[in-house]
Amino acid sequence: MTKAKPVQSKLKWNKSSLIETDLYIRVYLAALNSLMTPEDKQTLFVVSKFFTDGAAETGRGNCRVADYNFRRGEAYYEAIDAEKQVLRRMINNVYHRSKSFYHYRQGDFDEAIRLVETTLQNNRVLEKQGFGFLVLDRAQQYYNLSRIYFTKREMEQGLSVLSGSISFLIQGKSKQLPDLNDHLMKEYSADLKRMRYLLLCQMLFDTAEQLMRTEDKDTFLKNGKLFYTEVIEAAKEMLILSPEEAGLKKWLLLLKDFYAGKYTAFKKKATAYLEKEPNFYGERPVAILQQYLARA
Amino acid sequence: MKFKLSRYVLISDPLDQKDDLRTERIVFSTRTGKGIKITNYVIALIREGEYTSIPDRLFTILMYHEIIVPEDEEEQDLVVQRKKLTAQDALQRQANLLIRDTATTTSEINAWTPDDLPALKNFMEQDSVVKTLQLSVAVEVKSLERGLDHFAKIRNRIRSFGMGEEVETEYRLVFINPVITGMIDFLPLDNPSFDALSFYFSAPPGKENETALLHYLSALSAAVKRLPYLQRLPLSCHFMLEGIDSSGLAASLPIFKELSLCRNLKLHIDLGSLRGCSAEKELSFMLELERAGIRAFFLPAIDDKYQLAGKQEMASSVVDLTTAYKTDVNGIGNREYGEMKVFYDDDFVQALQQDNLRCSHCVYLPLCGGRTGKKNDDSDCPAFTRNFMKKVEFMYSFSLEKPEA
Repeated sequence: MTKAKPVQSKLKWNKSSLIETDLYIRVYLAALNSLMTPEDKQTLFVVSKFFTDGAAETGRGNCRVADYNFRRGEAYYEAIDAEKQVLRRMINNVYHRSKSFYHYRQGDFDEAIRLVETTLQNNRVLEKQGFGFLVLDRAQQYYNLSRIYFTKREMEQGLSVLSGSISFLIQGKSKQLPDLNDHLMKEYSADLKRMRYLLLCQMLFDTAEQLMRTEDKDTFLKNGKLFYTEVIEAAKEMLILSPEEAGLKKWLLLLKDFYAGKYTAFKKKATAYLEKEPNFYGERPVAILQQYLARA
Repeated sequence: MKFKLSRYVLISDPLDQKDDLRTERIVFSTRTGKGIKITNYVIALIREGEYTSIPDRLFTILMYHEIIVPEDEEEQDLVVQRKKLTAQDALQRQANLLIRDTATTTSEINAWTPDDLPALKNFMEQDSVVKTLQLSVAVEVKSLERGLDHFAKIRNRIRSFGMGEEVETEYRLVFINPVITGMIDFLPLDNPSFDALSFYFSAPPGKENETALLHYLSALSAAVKRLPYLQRLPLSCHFMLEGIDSSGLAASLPIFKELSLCRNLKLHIDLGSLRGCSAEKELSFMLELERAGIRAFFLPAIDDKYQLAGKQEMASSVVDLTTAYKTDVNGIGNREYGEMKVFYDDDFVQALQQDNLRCSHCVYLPLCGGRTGKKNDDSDCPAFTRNFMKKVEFMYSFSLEKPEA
C-alpha cells in the first residue's frame, strides 16, 4: 500500500479495544446480569449491533450502509418502552459513541464533539446505577475527543484532554478533567484495576508513538511538553496497584529530564534503565525510550 | 424484543451418526457468509423461541452472525438494500482504469490531468476525513514488458496529482491474457512498482488451450518460486475455464495444487457458471479438485468486469471501468434476469435489475438465501439447495486442515 502516513501511526478511534478482551466482557456481563432482565439484555445486544455495525461500516468508508444501519437501530430504540431507563441508557452508550465516529468521518466535527459529551454525561448517570466500570469508558471517550481536536488541528486542546485523561488513569484524579474524579480508584475491584492498567498503557504508548513521529524538533518538544507535563506530575503520585505498575512509573519519570532539557542526565538514567529494568509491557516502552535516546 | 431464526440460514446434516441432542450441525448464515457449529439442543431452543435459555456468549455470536434476527425484520428487503448500498459505497471508493494496448504513449500519459480520469477526479472531490482509494490499473497488453512500463509511468503520473496526506492507495496491476513466456525475465527482481498483481487467463474450448493453460501455470509457478515479492504481495490469478473438461485439466492439477498453497495467492477458478455451465458439472469439478487437495475459490472473480468491458468496443485507450461495468451489466443481465424470473417474483427481479444486482443463485452467496419470492410457491431454488450446502461443507472441511508450511 502506498500511504502518506503508515496506518499504525494514526491514533485509532477507541471503540474500545478492551471490549474484545475477556476481562471487559466478564465485567460488563456481570453488571448486566445483576441489573437487567434476560430479555432486556438480549434487546441490548441486538439493538447495539446496528450501531456497532454502523461504526464498522463507517470505518470501511461505507457511509450509505452505515447510515442505513443507524436508521434501523434508531427505529428499534424508539420502540423501546420509555420506562426502561437503564436499557435505553446502555444502548445510548453504544449509540452516541458510534454515531460520533460517523459524524467525525463525515467531517461534521461539532456534532461529533456533542455526541462524545453526551456519552460522557450518560455514562456518569449509569456509573451511579451500578455500572461503575464505565468511568474507564469515559477515559476512552476523552481519547476519542482528542482525536477530533487533532483532526481540527487544535493541538493544544487535544493534548490537554489526552493528558488529563491519562493523568486520571495514573493517579485516580485529573486537574484538567475534574468530572473524572467521581470515584476512588483505590476501591476498584481487582478486574477493574487490571482494566485500568491495560487501558493506561495502551493510551499512553499510542500517544507516545504518535508524538514521536513529529519530525520537526521544535514541534516535537512543544507538543511533548504540552502532553507530558501533567502526566509526569501525575506519575509522581501514581497509584501503584501491582509490581508492573512500578515499572511504568519509573519509565515515565525518566522523561522528566528529557523535557527539562537535561539530556546528559537523561541519557545516563535511560541507558541504565534499559540495562537493568525488566520489561513491564513488552517491547513498546523499550522502543520508545530508544527513540528518545536517539533524539537527546 | 422478539426474535426469529433467519430464513437465510442453512443447517447441515448432523456431523455424527448418533444425531442426539449433543450432536452438532453447521449452521451457515448466507447473510453474513459465516457458519458456526452448534448442537441440536441449541437449534431446538431457537426453533422453540426459548432465547433466554441460550447463554449470553452464544446468543451474541448467533445474533452477530445474523442467525437470530429481530422477529419483525423484513429480511429480503434488508438484504437487497444492504447489497445496493454497499455497491454504491464501493463504487465511490474505486477508480478502475483499463488501459488498452493502443497508442497510449508516454507523452500522452505525462499530459494527463485529473480531468482525463473522471473516476479519479470524482474520488478526489469527495468530502470525507479519511479516504481510501482502490485504484486498479488493468493493462490489456500481450507484452508483459510493455505493460510494466506503462504501469510505472501511469503510477508516477497519478502520484503527481497530489491527493493529500489522508489518502491510502493500492496500485494493482492487472494483466489480461498476457503472453507470459519468459515472464521471469521481465518482472523486476525486487521493488516492484505495483502493490498487488492480478492475472486473468481465459481458455476457450479446444485441445491447444489445455496445453496453453499448462504452460501458463508452469511459468507462473516458476516466477512465484523465484521472486520473493510474489510470495508476499496480494496476488490473484483468475482462470476462466469455460468449456474445458475436468479430464482436460488432469495435467494441470499438480501445479494448481502448488500454487494454491501460497498464502498470499488467491486462486479463482471459474467454470463459466454464469455462462451456461451446469451446477452438477461445477460440483463434480469441485469434488475432483478437493480430491487433489487444491484450495481455490470457485466463485466468479469480482473483477470479471475486465472481461465484460473487453466485449464492448471502446473508443478511447483509457477506459473507466468504474462506470463501464454498470452499463455493460445490462447486456449480460437480461438473460440472467430472465432465468431468475422462473423462481422469483417479477418485482423482486425488477428491483435487482434496476440496481444492477446480480443473483448468483448457486455460485456466489445468493441474495435470496435460496428462497423463492413466488407468492404461491414455497419451494427453494433447486440449484441453490443442491449446490450450496455442498460448497459450505467443502469449505468447512478445508478449514479443518492445517496448511502445509
